Amino acid sequence: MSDSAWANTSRLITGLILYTGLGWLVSRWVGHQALLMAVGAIVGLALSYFLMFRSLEHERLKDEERRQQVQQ
Amino acid sequence: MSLSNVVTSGLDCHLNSGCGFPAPGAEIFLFDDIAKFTILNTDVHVTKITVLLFISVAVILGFFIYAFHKPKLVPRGAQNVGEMGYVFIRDGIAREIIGKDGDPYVPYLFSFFFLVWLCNFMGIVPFAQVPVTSIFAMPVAFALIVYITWVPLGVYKQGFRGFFGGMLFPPGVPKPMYVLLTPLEFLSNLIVRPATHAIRLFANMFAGHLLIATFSIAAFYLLSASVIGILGSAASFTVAIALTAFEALIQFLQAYIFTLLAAVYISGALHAEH
Amino acid sequence: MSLLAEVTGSLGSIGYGLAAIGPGVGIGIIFGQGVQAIARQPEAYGVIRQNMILGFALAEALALIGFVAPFVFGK
Repeated sequence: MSDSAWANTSRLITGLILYTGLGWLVSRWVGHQALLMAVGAIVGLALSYFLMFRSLEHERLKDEERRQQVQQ
Repeated sequence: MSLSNVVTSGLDCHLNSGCGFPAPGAEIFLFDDIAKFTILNTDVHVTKITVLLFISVAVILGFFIYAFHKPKLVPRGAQNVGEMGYVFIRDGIAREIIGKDGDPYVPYLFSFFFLVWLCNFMGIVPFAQVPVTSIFAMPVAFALIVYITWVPLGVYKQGFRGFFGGMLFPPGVPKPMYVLLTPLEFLSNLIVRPATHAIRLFANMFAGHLLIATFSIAAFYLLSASVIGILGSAASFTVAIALTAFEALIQFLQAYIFTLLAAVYISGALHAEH
Repeated sequence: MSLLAEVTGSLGSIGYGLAAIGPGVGIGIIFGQGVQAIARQPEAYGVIRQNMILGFALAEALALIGFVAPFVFGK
């Protein structure tokens, strides 16, 4: 299995949990509205997707370079 | 499938017993709590749907981790099946729709396809028999995840002005038409797209489950001492079985279409349209 | 003003029946043209099938929204 698989899985899970928790803390500070926790979850998900796709595209570029090197 | 209608009318509600046909409505989608706890000031109700969702995720994780954990060069057994699934998504959906630079998005589409398919498939598994995606919250969650993937991706790849400009102001249109065209494009692309993405999946699974439930309840209801009753019951039962087979096809098709449309949206975010 | 006409009973079924007309025509056109396209160029079968399925799903969604709407808005 590619070593990026577990790295990306952990990125997704920790990003989601961390930002949901932060959203919950902010909602507690402002006054209990679960909406802020949901907003935190969405932001965390978007950020972790950003990181995951960036790492996957980096991997793809490296694959392309390696393939071109093999061809030459 | 909950026979709550038949049970409340009594388990002896048949054709000539004086009760009308206990047609299933939207109430067969309401489930009782198995457990309920409060965490972080929110109530969490655990129902049959929650348990089925966790079972689906566990089955997918377990199967694909087992299939790919010691990959051999010539695949056999579970790895073969796993690779067939992966190649189906990569060649059939990602490379067709997004092109060669859709490879980073294959794990995402792959996870979505198999999760949606297994959640749909729970509708015909014995003892489960309710598709997890027929509860409106599930397709909404899936469509929301796809939405918060492709919109920031488009902004990141094409810039804010490039992405929204290209989407809301399509080129090649005379200037005054933009007053009419832009609200329509905004509504259609940013609001209606995730809504129909969710509603399509939900409505297909809802309708299929309701149909199977109706014919199953009819098969039970028509069992009575009359010839018409027996014939009707046999016919209803046959139709319920045929509908189950039809549902199996529709479940796969709807999962495929969900993933296909997710790939189309991602492709629209990556490459400028028009 | 006196009542001239009234429809009673299960309005949901009538609504679904009306909602199924358009998508029925649409899906017939999609698959008819798809089969014709395959007949003209059999080697493009994969591309045609994919677009056929995509178009079918988009048209079918409207019929199914018509099926679900009575449950959402009905009494």
